[in-house]
Amino acid sequence: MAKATKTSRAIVRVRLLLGLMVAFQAGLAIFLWNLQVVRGHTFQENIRQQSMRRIRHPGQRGKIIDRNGIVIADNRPSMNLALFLEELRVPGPASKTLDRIEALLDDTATKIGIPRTLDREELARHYRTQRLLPLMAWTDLDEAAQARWAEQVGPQAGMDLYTQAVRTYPYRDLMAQTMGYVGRGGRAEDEEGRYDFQLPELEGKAGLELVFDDELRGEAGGELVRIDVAMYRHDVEAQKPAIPGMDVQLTIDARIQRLCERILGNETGSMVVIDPQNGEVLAMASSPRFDLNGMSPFIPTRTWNTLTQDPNKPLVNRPVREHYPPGSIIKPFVCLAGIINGNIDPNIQIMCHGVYYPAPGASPMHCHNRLGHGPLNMQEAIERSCNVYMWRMVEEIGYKPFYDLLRDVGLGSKTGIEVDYETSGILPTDEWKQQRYNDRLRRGDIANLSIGQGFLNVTPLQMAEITSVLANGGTLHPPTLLKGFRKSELDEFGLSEPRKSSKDLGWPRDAVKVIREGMRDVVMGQFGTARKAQVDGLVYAGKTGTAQFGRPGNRKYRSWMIAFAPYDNPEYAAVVLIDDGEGSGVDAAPRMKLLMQALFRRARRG
Amino acid sequence: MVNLKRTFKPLLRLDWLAFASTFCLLLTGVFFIFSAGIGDEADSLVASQGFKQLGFIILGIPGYLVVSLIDYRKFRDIIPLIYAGCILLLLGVLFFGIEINGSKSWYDLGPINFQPAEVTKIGLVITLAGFLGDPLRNIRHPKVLLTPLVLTGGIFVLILAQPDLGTAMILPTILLSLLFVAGLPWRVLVVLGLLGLMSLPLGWSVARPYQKERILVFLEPDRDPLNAGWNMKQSRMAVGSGGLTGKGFGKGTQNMLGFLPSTVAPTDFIFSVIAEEKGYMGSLGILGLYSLLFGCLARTAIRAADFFGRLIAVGILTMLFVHVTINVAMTVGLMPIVGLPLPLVSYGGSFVLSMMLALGLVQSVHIRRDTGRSHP
Repeated sequence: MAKATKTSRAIVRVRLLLGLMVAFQAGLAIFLWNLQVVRGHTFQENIRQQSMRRIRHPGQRGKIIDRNGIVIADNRPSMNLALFLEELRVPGPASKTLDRIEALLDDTATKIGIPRTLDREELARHYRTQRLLPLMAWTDLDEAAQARWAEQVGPQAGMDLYTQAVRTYPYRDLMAQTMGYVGRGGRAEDEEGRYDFQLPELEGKAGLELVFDDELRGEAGGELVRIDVAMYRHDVEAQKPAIPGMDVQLTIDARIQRLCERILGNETGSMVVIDPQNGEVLAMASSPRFDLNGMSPFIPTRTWNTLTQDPNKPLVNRPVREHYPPGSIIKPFVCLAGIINGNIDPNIQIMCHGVYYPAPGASPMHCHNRLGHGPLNMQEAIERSCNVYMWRMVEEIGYKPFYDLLRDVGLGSKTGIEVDYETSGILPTDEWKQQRYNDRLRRGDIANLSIGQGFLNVTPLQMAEITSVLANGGTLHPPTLLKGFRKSELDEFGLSEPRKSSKDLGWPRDAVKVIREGMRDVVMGQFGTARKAQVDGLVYAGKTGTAQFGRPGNRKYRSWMIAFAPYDNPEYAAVVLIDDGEGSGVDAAPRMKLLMQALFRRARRG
Repeated sequence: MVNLKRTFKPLLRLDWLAFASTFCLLLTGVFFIFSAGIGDEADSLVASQGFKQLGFIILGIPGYLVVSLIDYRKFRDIIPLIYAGCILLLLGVLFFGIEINGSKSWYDLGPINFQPAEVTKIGLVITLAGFLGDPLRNIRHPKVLLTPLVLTGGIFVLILAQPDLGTAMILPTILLSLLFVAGLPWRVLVVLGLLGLMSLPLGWSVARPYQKERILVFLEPDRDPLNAGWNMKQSRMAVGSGGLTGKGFGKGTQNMLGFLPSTVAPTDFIFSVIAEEKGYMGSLGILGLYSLLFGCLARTAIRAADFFGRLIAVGILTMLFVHVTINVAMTVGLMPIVGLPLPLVSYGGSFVLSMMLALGLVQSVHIRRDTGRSHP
């Protein structure tokens, strides 16, 4: 009886025990339902994030081409010897893999005869953070080294030749400052967020390379890679090929550009040539220059220091980045303002005795011909560059008429050309002088302004722009360097948006005619100041200018000459500026002559 | 010929349902051990862990059948020998064992490592069943209670010394459930249970730093996500990402990509491989098979011809249950990582073999069940 009771009680307790156990299993089943079915997506997303990596492959950078198809900025393949760390993996701790790679590097170094460039630390860093990307062990192998590698080592798992694009400039220093340079880009992001790995990309750092960087760069491709816990590639989930960047065609004519650079020679200075019918810049030269290939793929510290410490500032793009007093080349515009805004009759003669008193009792101002030019009408005043004529005229009409005209043609503001940095120059006003010198513009200031001295400052490009306006008779074409873009070599170059619109300034024909004739006489006339610039068989117009700078009397001059040619139906408007010259007749006019000779010899030939 | 027939005739009385669910679990294990090994750079199929596991199972089948053919009552006569053997094995491993992951729990037997704690658990079940199943003892007498406590305590301390906290924690549970079925009054059980809980701080004080870390990580999962918390987090993610139907055999990315380290995926974390690749249906299938096996073992306990057999069945059942529950719970992040494998499914030779022997022992009880009477 006792035993039976004990047994039955035990059986009850076994059933209780089983019940408890099954309840536990049911509890686990319910928990798992919540974990796997209800919250499954959260965990799937977590896993995806933990095992997915985005790799970025930049597109090939576009070329920069001149108006005739000459390639100015190109890519050349650099043959590198690259390590593919994933294929060199040795099971076990990372140090084993690194040991193996080091052994391979040492072995290869002796065989190709070039010392190792990577130390273990760089190797370990790449291994830690960039494992899915090739590691360049030697860059830019020459043909001999390539041959030795092919003969003695050869392609093998984990190491192979790897071509990378390097920016190259076939004409070395051609338009160097305008062209700018590229460098290694920073970490890229896009709408989907950060890339985990990216191959280095060329990025425009200065000049046109910077201005057109978006177009030149193209669209990066990428890979979505599933990695394993050791960060090795497991499979590729998605791939998008990179789209090459667009080619950029410039308005620049590389031959005219080179010509200008040759003409400038060793002088510091600028030359600009514009097509006056549409504002297209055919040449924009700045001297001295530097070799663009020395800046690619990166700028060596020594090169950089040399360039930045050079007193002649070779990195500065003078035609747009520096401003200077224009000197006498401003006179045609002052005269034009006199006719248009100041009701001056250009035929009336003004007497030049060689001296002028801006105010009663003020110290005298002299014409460059101290004996005086005698009576001159406007056309003659331009031809001989008479200061007294300008002073007298401005005394008559005041500052506003010629301020208005200079403002309308764009002095004192940026031209908007496609460069990375442009200065606006200075077109002074009362407010400007008030801010700067706590004084208003006085009569002496205005007299100085009328002959291009004093506060007025212009860039060579601005002068080229306004010379174009005179050349074409009164239409302002904003200067531009851009001809168009193309997606591939099969396409035509085209602009995605229209150019900035030109502006007809509404100048009376006969007024412009007087000025143009005056400028023609500067070159062609018997008293012209630029007779030295005459070219056989070419009738063209110009104006010289010499502006003093630095302390008075130190005989330091900015030598200017503006010109447009031919006189009828001008094809070119040009500016020459020698920063540190002896006088326009010595430095500027002969250079303009060389330019015109070459331009029209060329034109006659072809 | 006749003799042979008589020898094997008892096999007809096997618990076929228990047999079937056992082998279902074993084979499921083999499949997913293969799956867990897909990412590995094994030299050949033969060298893979799945193949080895299959070998252990084939080795275990005759063991399973032979043990079930032996009358379990014969073990009662050699209980002192069994217990002494257990103690010797455990003492020996402390001196001659090899150390893996900081624990001296293994004998190096050439091709396989042998973990004596696995068989001593069975030895303890037989010992305790023999003691508590003796009809002449009155379990309600305090002196009678003392002996099983000491017997369990001896083995407990030796396993703790290895240290193998996970395995050691199973022993008190086995003791408690045997005492329960043997008829220990509820109040004594409650007191013992409370004493057990009170000894937990003691366990904390003897725990190794890495064990403490595991528990802290459990309480605060982001505490150390790259080291101690890694397996737990990755395993939980693997299970969770399985969804309803899973990613498919061999397609569990957690395991394939190595986020679930290949050292633990086929062993302690095999459940998360199954749950990831077969989803909730897979998890439910595994839990279902275990519940079926629990039912079978409980049925054997109920029908056993005597108390010795009944307690053997209850002891093995409890051992199985605790393993399964703790393993699944730690795999899904409900419990700290204690390093207990999933019985019959996890990779591991000595554990599979000892588990098969234990279930063979229950079969022996089942074959000799009391068919004469029916119990209410």
